[in-house]
Amino acid sequence: MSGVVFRETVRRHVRNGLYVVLLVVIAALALTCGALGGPSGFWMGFVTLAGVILGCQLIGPEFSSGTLQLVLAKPVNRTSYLLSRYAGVVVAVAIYLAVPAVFDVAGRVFVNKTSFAKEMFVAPLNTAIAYLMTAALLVFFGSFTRSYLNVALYFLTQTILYMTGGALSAIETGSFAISPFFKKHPEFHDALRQVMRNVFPSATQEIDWRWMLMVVSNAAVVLLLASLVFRRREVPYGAD
Amino acid sequence: MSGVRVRGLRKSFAAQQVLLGIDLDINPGEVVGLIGPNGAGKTTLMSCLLGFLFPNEGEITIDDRPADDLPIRARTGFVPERMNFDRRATGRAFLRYMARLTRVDNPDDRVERLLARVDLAQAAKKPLSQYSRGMLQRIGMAQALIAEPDFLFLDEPTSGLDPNGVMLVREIIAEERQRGAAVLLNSHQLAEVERVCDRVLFLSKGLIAQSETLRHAEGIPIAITLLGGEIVRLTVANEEAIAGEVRRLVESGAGVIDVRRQSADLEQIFRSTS
Repeated sequence: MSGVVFRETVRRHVRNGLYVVLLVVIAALALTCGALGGPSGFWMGFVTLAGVILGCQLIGPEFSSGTLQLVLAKPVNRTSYLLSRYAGVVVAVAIYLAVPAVFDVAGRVFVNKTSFAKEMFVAPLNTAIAYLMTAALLVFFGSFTRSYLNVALYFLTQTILYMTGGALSAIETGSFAISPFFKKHPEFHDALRQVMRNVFPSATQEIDWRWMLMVVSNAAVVLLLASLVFRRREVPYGAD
Repeated sequence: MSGVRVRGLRKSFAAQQVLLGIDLDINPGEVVGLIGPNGAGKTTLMSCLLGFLFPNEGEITIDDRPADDLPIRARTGFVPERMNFDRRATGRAFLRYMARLTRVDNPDDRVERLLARVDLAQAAKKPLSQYSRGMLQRIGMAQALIAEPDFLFLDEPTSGLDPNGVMLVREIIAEERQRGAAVLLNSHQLAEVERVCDRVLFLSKGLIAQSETLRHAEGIPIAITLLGGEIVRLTVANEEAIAGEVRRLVESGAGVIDVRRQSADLEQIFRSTS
């Protein structure tokens, strides 16, 4: 890890006007949710979306603009650079979760809805852990693409997996020629569900150590793959 | 310290062969110009030297170590043709980041000296988005010099600069040569190359078509044309010695009608090798 790259990544995000505006908006939503006793998942959905926006800026746009080449001409290890950028974005998103969570709790305390104790900390924690995988995937896709193609690949993969799942359900319940085969072999659908749970984990509402460990280890594997790809990536300048 | 050494460098992209076997040496304290038409492979060669591209064949060593060696990177400076960075960062913040990446001692002090050197001390507080093309080139030059590099790779460093900026870059290159840095200058501006380089390489169709020495280590080559049309070619130690040689010829009874610094006609060579 490069502390210099990590600090620069965090600095670049938190000094961005759009980042601050989004933080204020999400904090206001969280305060409203808390005061009205609404579900915290509402404002956390915005955090996930903001996280994808921040994550899509990893590697690809830097490659296209030539900034990456400027940095890689310095004595910076590529793996260290990749991991530092990743960690910087995760911290920027963690701030998006931590600050509004405080406002959510404050809203609930203010109107005396005291059911916040455990749930109010578990949900942001799980969202943060799920984001580890989201950011890892964006880093992986960014390790071999240019510009913002990583986010396109992220959504494409998600769409393909969901559509395949939908198609399998339709085939299983329908009366197609291959329906009996898939009814007899539910392991295909189960395997696909397992892949979706691993690649696009959904934050749960309770502390589930097994789930947390699964997400963290999957993110680590994806980051390892990303660093292997990035180490061998050619970065010609003046490419775009 | 050894310089930059390239042997049998080949690089292709899919079926397109860009470099077809480059041999190149840049010695410490030498400025080598790289010229050639568009598509000749200059940027690809520079990218290989900087470790951005991986050669298909051949060997690149910088001070006897691989080009992508991190300690070598710490001693390398690179100026891209177009300087790009987070446009919200100020010039000073950008240079501080580059100094910290390069692990320079007393980074703040070094940054302030470089800002003054490239005439950007007044603009240091401004974000890069407010910098002109020339100012970006100058800050690009400053970031390349941040660690007092032993190896300097410059890609069109004078592009977009006004005459003052061009003179500044020329002075900096001369200083770096004096300090003992090995410099590779990629430029389309032949006059500029002629003024600052010791040697020039003509790259054409992926090969070094010609290498021309512009400055001899032993002195300045001059051609003195005498009255009868005879041309006397000799090498003098410095510019003051030219007058001495002319005086000696005149005193011996020869009529001197022209004295010229003998230099390669880069334009002519460029045309013939392209």
